[in-house]
Amino acid sequence: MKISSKLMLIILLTVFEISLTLLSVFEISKGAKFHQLNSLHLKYSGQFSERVLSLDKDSFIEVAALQTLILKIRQQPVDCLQSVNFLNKFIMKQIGTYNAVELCVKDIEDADLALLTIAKFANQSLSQEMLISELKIIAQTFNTNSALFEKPITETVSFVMKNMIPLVVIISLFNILFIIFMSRTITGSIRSAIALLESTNNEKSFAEDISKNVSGELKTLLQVAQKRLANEVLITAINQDLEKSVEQRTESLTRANSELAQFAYRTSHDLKAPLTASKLLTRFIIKDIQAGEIDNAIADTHRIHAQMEKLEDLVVSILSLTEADSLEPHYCDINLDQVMDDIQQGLSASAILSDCLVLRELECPLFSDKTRITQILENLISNSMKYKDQTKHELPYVRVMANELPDTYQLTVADNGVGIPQDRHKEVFHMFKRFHPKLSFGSGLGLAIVKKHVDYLQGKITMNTSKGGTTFVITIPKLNTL
Amino acid sequence: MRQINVLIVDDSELDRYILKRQLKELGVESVIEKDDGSTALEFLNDYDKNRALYPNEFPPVIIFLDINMPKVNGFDFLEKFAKMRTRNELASIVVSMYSSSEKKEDKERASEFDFVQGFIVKGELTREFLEQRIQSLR
Repeated sequence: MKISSKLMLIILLTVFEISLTLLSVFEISKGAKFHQLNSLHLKYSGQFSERVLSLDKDSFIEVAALQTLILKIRQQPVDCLQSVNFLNKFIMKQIGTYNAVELCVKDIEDADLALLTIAKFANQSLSQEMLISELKIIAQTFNTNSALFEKPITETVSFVMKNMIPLVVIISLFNILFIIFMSRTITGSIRSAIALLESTNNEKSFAEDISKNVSGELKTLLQVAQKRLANEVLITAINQDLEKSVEQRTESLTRANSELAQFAYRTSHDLKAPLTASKLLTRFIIKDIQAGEIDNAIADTHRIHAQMEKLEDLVVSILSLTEADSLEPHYCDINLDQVMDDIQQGLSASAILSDCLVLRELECPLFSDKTRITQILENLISNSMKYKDQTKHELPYVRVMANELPDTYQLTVADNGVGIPQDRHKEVFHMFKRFHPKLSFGSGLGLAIVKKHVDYLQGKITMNTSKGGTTFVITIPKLNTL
Repeated sequence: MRQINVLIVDDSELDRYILKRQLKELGVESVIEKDDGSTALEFLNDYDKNRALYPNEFPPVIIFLDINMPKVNGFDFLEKFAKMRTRNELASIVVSMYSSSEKKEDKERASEFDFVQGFIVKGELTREFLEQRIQSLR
């Protein structure tokens, strides 16, 4: 039941109680009024009797004075009948005091009869003697009426007092009890709502609890509050997400920035180092030639040559790295054998290829970006050749495999080289990382270039390395699956 | 003229060669080379053994120390060497940084060690500067 309905019920009951009280008071006071009217009636009928008794057949009869007195006597029953309402009549009929009303009617008739009699006398159709005897009877009747009227009125009033007052008291008591009961149920439902709010249930079961345990306005209140809270939680969550993404962006920008700064620093440094070294070496060569130390001069010339190769390698790598970012996607069918031929021919120009075996297991043609695939393979193969393990008994080799899977191509480059130290696996794809500077020179950019190309192809690269060798597995999704 | 014992710690063979040759031009012949901070620390730690092995070249008076090295880099070396240097026989050794780094923070970090004297940037090393450094040790 709604709280507002409960309150409305309390109000209705209270209004009823007040009305009943007022009605009782009004009815009791009406009884007093009837008594008053009756005593007035008795007074006037007394005067009337007195006057009638003083008359004899010879005395002068004041018709007007008699008429006035009768009209006065007639007035009280008229007032009485006006005051009596339907309810009074009903009650009086029930308790057997209705004869009071009938008496009033009779009294009026008696008065009318008296007036008629006087009128007849005035018309001289009635003798004075007859008039006096008639009036005496009427006076007697008025007195009798008054005497009879008193009893039913007293009975009616006492009935009203006997019944209405206890009824009012009972209803008041009931009203008080009812108000207490209602206020307890209201407090109870508010308490249970509070208990529900305090319990630490999750949101969904909370909504269920509300619809199960709470009703009326409290239910609406809780549901609105819950909605509002949920909204606020949502807004807070959105704000937190925003903050988080701003933080993440800032972080990635900062990282990119510092990577760029590091890249600039490292490239300028690595470009400068071979140049300054070569500059010094040329000075040594001049001195050696002047001093006739030709062997020294030749050794230093080789050193310069090595520095220039290093420089060239670095410049080529930097170009590939920047090219990896700016390449237009160009997908085509790739003949991997052809690609491998080109790579091997390119590598044979440098000394590193020398005694390294290149094994091919190319099972499928590839539909992908040829430039990127070529650079990936070229870098991995040249790494395998550079870092071959000459302490092993078996010949150094690099095995290049290509397989087609339902949604991807898988390229594998495996070697039996020196591997990458265990503690540095995390740095493998970072720029300017070199793990075996003594074995061979390099820019430290090769695997960073490979990673960049794999990322652009939306593929994945994994590495498995040990002292027995290194295997890279590259998985590239087919174009139609992207 | 007092003989100057030099230890060069650098992973670049070429840079060691260049410095060694520049020192040789200044009459410094007694040069030992190490290719990493780790091998250099071992070398200094085995004091008695190396004293016997290289009676003329050990211990060094000055160490030319590269920063960027694969295993134990220059700063790691400095921290470990600072502890090792409390030993009497090593206390007089000074270190001169010999690096291609031009970073200000590297210079500041190196100068925090009181035994580091000078920060030489590879390629900017002049004969005059090196001569001055050597003279101050003689």
